[in-house]
Amino acid sequence: MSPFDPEILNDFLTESSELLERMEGDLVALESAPGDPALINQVFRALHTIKGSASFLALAPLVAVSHAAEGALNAARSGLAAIDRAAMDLLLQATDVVKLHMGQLRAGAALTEPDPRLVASLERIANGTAGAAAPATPRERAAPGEAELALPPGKADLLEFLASDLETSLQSMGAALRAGGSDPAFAETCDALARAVDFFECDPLTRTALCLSRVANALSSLDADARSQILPRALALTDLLGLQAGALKRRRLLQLPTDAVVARLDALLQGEPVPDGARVASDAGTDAVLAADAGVADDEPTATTDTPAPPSAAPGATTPSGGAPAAAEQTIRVDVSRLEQLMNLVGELVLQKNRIAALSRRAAQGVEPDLAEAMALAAGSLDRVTADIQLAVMRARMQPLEKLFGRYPRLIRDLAHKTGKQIALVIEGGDTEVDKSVIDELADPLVHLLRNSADHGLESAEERRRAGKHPTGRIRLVASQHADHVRIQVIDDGRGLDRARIQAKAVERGLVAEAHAAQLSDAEVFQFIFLPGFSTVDRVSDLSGRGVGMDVVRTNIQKIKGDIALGSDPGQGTSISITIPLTVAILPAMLVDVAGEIYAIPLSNVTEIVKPEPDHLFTVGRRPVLRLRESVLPLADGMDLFGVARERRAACPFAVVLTSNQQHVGLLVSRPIGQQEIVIKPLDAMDKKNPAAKGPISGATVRDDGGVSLIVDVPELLRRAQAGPPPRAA
Amino acid sequence: MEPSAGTPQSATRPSERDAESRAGTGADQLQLVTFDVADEEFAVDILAVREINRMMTLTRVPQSPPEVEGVINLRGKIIPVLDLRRRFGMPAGERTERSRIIVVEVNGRVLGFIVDGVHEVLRISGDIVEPAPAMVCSIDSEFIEGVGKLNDRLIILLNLGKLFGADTPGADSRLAAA
Repeated sequence: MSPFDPEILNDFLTESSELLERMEGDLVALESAPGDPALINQVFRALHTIKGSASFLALAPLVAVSHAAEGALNAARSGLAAIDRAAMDLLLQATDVVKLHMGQLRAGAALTEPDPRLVASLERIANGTAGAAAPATPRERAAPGEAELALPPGKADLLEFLASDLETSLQSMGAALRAGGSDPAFAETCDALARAVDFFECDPLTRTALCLSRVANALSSLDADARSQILPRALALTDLLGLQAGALKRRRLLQLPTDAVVARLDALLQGEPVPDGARVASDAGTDAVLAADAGVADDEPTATTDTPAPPSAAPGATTPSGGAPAAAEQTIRVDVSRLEQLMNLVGELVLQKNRIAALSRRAAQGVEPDLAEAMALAAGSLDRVTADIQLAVMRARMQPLEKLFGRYPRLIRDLAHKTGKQIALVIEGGDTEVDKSVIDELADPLVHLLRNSADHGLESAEERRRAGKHPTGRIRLVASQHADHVRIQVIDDGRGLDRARIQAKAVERGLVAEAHAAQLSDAEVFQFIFLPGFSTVDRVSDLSGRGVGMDVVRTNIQKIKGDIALGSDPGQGTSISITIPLTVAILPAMLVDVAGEIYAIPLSNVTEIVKPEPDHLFTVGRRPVLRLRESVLPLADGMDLFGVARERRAACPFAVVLTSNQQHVGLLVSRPIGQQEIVIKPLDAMDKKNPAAKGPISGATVRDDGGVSLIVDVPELLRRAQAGPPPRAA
Repeated sequence: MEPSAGTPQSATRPSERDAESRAGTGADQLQLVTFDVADEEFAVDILAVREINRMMTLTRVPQSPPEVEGVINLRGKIIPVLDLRRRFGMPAGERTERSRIIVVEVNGRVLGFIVDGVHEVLRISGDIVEPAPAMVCSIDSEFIEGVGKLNDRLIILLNLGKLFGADTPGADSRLAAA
């Protein structure tokens, strides 16, 4: 489809997709803050970048639609078209088309032409203002020569926008200069301006802007006398550029007498004094400056011979200590697979580190104390360095949740329009960082949860008014970081879950006995929602999804070793919290011995380890339970769960209390061994044709002694413990 | 790739030199690793063999198919290990000093299987290999690629793809056992 290097295309896709995501968020934000110039500018720039790259890649349909949308935004920017609901719909549709194009490019398919009606509508918004044109420059100066500005067609249509951009920067520069030019932002504005005017392909203009940028960067290192001569001249230049900007809007290029001033300024920056005849008062106007410097070229020689240049001013002045341009190079794109490889290597490193630590402990007995100490020391620092590397690599893979959250305002907006409800989405903690794989896995579950909240959790405006609530329903999407995990919550202030109905349904489906059901806690009742088919067969709960049950959400969350919990207050709303460990490939685990076999249990699931007294063990309905303080805990025998052969059975006096999804179980083990950081390895010993044959095992790891331990799948173990002892072991 | 780790006797076997000299002239050569299971001699193509290890501690996997003995740590990678006797439907044998784990790659999957002992690396000519007769030995002929006759020896060439490849280990024997 495109004759371009696939790598270039890929870069374009990556960059544009990012821009597009941010842009969508900005557009929705713009709807609630209509006419916010910062937002409009941001959207415009994003769109412009996409368009620019697309035209470079000759992707005509993509250029057409982004061009149309850009036109509409441009009209909005000059305040001559309002971004109302209809306009916003069009703009969002345009982003949808761009997204579609991205997908087609990714798939190597041909781009579909945008709907001509969409383009036409966008153009109407743009044209509504075109006639009104730009207001004429307020102070027309007589006579400087004027010429037609010749620009390639790709640039011509951007002229007006960039010209007014220019005016804005010039205004702020003027203000900064009048204030003495010490504002640090001033230099930055000048640098930006210098880059911006490059666009017009007009040498005198570029020279002037570059000169201003040099002035801005050198100003602070010059003495007061030089400054008093520079400031009025710089101000004069901005003034002249302002005129030029006005002319540019009309596609005219003014022949401005700036060269002399530029030359004088450069001389000043070099530390050359101004000849007496050319000195200007610090409040001199533009005309005075022009008059003073008119003959600059002539008196140059005499000026330089008079006095030696003061040494102080020189070196820093000519080379603008370029801060701003370098800043753009602070990040690089790295292929995810490379980071993954690095992560795997770090995993190996952690394993080897564990081994070294274990070996040095073992060796310590047989060698002289000095050597033993040195070994322990080395093992210790290896441990520290490894931990640092691990952290650094993990952080390289981390991305702010913002990236993900940015998609949701659009979703909520569309849902609000579709359901006719008034919904406000509040996002908090978007800067919380999680592993990239987590971002990928979270995207869909969060869509389901938000959709559920908007669709079923929140009431209509009318209903809310009757209930004495604010007519606008609020959904809060909150991310926060806690020690070693991240919590993401979806909280709505809707009607909440109906416990009675869920309970009735659970009894009806035979999931729980009626008498027992009444004793369950709210949290336990709400857990039924997560059962497959529970929410979709009959719309018992107000949380039922559109064919996608909460069980799928839970499965996805568990895939990244996360946990999901649900809380609800009738009439007050529902909150769902997802807890995710910060890293998924390496995790701290508790090693336990079950009849001579060593298993690893993710530490995040271990609540405590107890050695129960015999009189705390009971049987309820043929199931063993443990009384632990105030609560009663179901017990699972590790030897049954892991199918330990009869002849190898041993005493299991310890109970490890495991928690997942607000449910608890006590796992009986022979003895706890200790804590170790483990690296999760895939386990290929499962019978894929018969998944039920899989034990409650989620993977394997290599212990510090080189042996293999299996990692206990706690949610699965809980499921089995509730279903009763496995038939094989019975 | 070095079987001598487990087979100190391999280089001295006269049959090997016989086989080699003969194979040198054959157009269609096979290079095989031979081993024995329950007193019968088997062979697999050397290209499929990754390495041969002495017995090591296996970690049992709960509720895995019966012939999966467990998993081992092969330089950081966790691979399943099967007992070839159980795979052939025989009772499990004793582990001895001679027992070895042959690590093979089958259809991109790395796994190990336990044999009673490894003999040698053998070059034979392809034309001494015949298709498996119906009742040549105690194992299912489906797993047999062919039978090589070498002097007085009968070597059974195994089809690793049939044995371990198509499905995960034991999917079919599990059905048979049920």
